Amino acid sequence: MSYKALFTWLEPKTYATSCVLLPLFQILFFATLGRFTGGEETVRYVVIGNSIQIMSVAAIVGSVQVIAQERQEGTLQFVLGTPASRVLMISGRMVMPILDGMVKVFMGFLVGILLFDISVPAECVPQLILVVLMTSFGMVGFGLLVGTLGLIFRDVNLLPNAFYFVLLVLCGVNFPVEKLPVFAQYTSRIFPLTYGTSSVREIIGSGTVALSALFMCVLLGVVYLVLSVVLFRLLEEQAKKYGTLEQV
Amino acid sequence: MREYVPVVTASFVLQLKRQSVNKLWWFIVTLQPIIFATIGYVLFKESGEENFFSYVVLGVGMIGIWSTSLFSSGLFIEIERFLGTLEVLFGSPAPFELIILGKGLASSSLGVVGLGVTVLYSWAVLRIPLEIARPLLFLVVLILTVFSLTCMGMILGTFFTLARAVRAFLNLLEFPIYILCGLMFPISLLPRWTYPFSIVLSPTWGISAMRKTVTGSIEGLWLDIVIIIVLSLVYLVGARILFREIDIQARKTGQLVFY
Repeated sequence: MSYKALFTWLEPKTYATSCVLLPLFQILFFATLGRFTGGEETVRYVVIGNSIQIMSVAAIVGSVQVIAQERQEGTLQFVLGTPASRVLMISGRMVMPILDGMVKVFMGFLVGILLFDISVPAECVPQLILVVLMTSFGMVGFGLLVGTLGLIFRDVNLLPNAFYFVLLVLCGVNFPVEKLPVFAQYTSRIFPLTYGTSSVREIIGSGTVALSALFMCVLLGVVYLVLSVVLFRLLEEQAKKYGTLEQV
Repeated sequence: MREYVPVVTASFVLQLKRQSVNKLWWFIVTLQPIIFATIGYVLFKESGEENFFSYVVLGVGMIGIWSTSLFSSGLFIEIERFLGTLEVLFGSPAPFELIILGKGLASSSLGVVGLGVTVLYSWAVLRIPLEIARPLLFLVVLILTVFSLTCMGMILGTFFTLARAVRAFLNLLEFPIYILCGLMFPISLLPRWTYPFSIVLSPTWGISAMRKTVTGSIEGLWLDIVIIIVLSLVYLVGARILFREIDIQARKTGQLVFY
């Protein structure tokens, strides 16, 4: 329950404004830009990309909140004082951001279907759910690492904001990754979202799932989760050793 | 009138200092323009549209000015309340709206830094040619637009002070303005029912006038300028009415800090 309570948008009005309308306007903006610059094919590309991007942003923001806000709320000392398994403690915090992300991505698709005539074949839905779930898992893992890193910095909120913009450019959301310089293309591979956007497009376009992309999403998610747990433990030990708990 | 100049100036300078150490502001005027300009550039490159400056550079620059203005002006009174200085400002002999005007002018002016970053990035990295056919007129329009956004910000600041229930909507006002004002595309792409919203928003006329000064085809430019001025005055009158309402409510209920 504590993990659920740390999720900021439990109040329906706040959820509706921050988690439904805001992403909706983002999709509308980029879709209209896509219509102006490239026509209906670009609109389709952009709507699908942004639907998955808002899910990934939700995953990062939600994950950062459930970890880093412990300090802001003054509850970090109690969390670190419990004998509970740190692995369970961190991984348990993945649940709400994953659920929230899933809601958002399908809301984005719904907007695409209703407003931009994007067709999603019914037989593709189970595969889409699988890919979105795996991408969400990967991005929440990444978000947990960002959230744990956020314990080191004073201004935690800048990190998810920065990644919001980085994901828009690097992960094939509004245009293919191949249009980026080579170094940026390599960087894009550390984000599960890059594999997620290409997989979803492949499913909607040809009905096939690239297993390698799914594997990369899960692998990256696990790597980020392990790194978060290790970093969390390290910070905890440092805090206990030097009596700097409130500075963690 | 002359005694009000130091009030606006002092408030302007204080806000410049305060905002220049705000990390979120630096973030809005540096990373956001670079990302939006990159997306705009790649999408426009495919389109055959060659006027990158009008749509990408100006559009992204205006996005930076609006975001700065929104997140600063919309929360002015809220921030003063949080800092515990609202009662002091409100009780001082200097008119409260002039203090807010100074702050608003500072925020909108600092938003121009975002335009500068966009111009620099577009020229140095994206290699977009920066040619303005009517530079002097461009400067005039830019100053008027910044002033107009300040007036819009004053309305927002007072409105969100009075209407606490809708304060959660502040974040929502970013993308709708980008869309309704056609900052990166013409508003003719939008459904007709959105036009009334577009025409009462001064950035619509600001970006239209700026594009005209860039291309040099200035037909209708003076109409755009007149509309920007008229809308700014309307916003100012609206803000004045809302300030008076805050004043009345504060004296009636004695709960200024709870707004």
